[in-house]
Amino acid sequence: MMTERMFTSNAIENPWVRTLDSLKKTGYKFSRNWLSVLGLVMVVIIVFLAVFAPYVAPYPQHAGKFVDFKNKNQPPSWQHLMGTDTIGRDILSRIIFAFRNALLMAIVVLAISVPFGMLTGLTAGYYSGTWFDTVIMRVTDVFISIPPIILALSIAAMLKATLMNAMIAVTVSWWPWYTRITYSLASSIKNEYYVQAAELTGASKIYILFREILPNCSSSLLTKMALDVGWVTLVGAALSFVGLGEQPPKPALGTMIAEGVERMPAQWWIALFPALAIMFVVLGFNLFGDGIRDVLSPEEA
Amino acid sequence: MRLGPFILRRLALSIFVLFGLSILIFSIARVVPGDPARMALGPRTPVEVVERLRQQMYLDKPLLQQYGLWLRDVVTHGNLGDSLLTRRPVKQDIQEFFPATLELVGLTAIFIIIAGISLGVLSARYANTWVDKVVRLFSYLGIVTPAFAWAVILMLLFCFVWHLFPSYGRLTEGVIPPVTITGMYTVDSLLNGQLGLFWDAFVHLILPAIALALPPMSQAARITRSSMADNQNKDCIASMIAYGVPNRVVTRKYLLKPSLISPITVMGMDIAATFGYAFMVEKIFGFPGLARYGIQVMLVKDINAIVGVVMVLGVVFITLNIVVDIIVVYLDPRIRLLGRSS
Repeated sequence: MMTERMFTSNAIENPWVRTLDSLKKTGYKFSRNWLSVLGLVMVVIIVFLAVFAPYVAPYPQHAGKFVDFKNKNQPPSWQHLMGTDTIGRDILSRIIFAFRNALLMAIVVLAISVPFGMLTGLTAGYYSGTWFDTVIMRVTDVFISIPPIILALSIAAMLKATLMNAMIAVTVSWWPWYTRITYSLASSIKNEYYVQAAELTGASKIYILFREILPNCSSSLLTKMALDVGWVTLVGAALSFVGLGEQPPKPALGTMIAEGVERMPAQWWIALFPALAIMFVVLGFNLFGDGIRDVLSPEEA
Repeated sequence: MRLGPFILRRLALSIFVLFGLSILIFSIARVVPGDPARMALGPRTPVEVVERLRQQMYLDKPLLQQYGLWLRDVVTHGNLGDSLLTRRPVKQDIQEFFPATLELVGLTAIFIIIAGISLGVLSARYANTWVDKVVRLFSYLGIVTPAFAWAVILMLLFCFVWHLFPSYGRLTEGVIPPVTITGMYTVDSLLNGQLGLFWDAFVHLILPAIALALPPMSQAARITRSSMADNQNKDCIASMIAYGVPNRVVTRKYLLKPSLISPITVMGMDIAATFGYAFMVEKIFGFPGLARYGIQVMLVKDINAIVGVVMVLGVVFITLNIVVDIIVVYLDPRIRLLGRSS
């Protein structure tokens, strides 16, 4: 009796404590790899800059309609760390404000395409071999029959060029990849013994899908999400580079590069720093995502 | 699995996918608000002219019928409609601009395949030495830097700091292009025996191709390395080394072949995606290819041309995927022999 009580009390000991404990362990493992930590630091910097842009940007008013022809095309200096553009706006300030839209885009795109892709992939994977699976996966095939960047470009092209429509275009071309990955995970996990056990005990389909299968997909999905923040930023920059995203005078990394390229040999800083900024975002989220993958995948511990 | 039926099945599936893609892109083009004919002609064109264009584009008919008529034109005549930007058949525009992009992506693909695989093999061969570390560091940087950022960086260094390469166009200004045979300047000039011209066209291709190749090349190197590393630990390799099979033979014959399966799959996808990134790189280098044309028509909402460009790229992507599948079947005896035993 005594031992049994001890056993149970140990096992159902406050679940929060257990979660905290495993979080601590995960955090420790994460901090062992300096590249992951570097990635985390970069991500924190990007998020911090984006959130507090009006307070940290040296010239916040330069993010909008602003002209200062006296200071146009200034090379990098102590007043303007990354120089100024063709109408005298501080490039560093504009990059910081551009991070806002870039992150907003990544969040919106992922907030829609992840749940949608996850749901379709999960159900199609669990019911693989049925008509439902066929319909979902063939539709997915069509969407991924051309690279997402081309699909996003052509959808954005047919809508009005705004940030909102750019987000829609990227979302439409992004969800199938989440369907794909969840599908392949779910269709193999459904054959595991614990899923069969749950089926035999008469658990509801909802329970099986969300409590048995989904948690076992989550590490792959989380990793992909962390990496995708960088990639969505990249595709977003590609759209605005072409002129299909946030419209001037509002800052967007792609637009800034496109403007800078025309000034290439003489005013090299106008294109170079926004390009490096995109690199920074993608690198940061890549290192961070790889760190998460290393921590969450048990076999590579 | 025998190759014949396999290819047939893949082809059937591709036709289905292309069909779906055309429905997708066509309906997006027609469903969005705004009158494409009015948009193309501008607000000051008389109503009758706009109406004539609407009829020409079947815009006055129901959506389903529009699609049916469009599909009929495509299938029977290969006619994709007229571009509203250039006022020429879209087909003619694509024929003019596609070879340039194909040439660029072709060279890019050569860079990706040769450099990606050899760097990966090098990295795996000298695993955990400084060679490996340098390759891995550079491949990480390569992956996270988008092609258009590379284009900016390379252009700054090689065109403006060191003046090694031209920064604009397909040929030096004033040089007469070769007689059109394939439309690809490098190929045409070689076929005509104009070596100087070939060199000029080639030099113009190098930087954009490197910019496009760097990210996928790095990806390929990384995947080749990890898949070589996985296979290196297999018992069959250990026993082969124990039997005294020369290292060179083990690597080339028994290690490389199975290790190439996943890099080739990824490279196929990446080479196809290169057509997408070519949109930006062509613009930066002022390279008159399909992608630059694509941007121009996108900015003026030239729907016939957008649909045309997307469909052409869709065909290219699907063809590439089939080629990759065939190579994988060839490389992987497990797939190749599957059908024969059963």
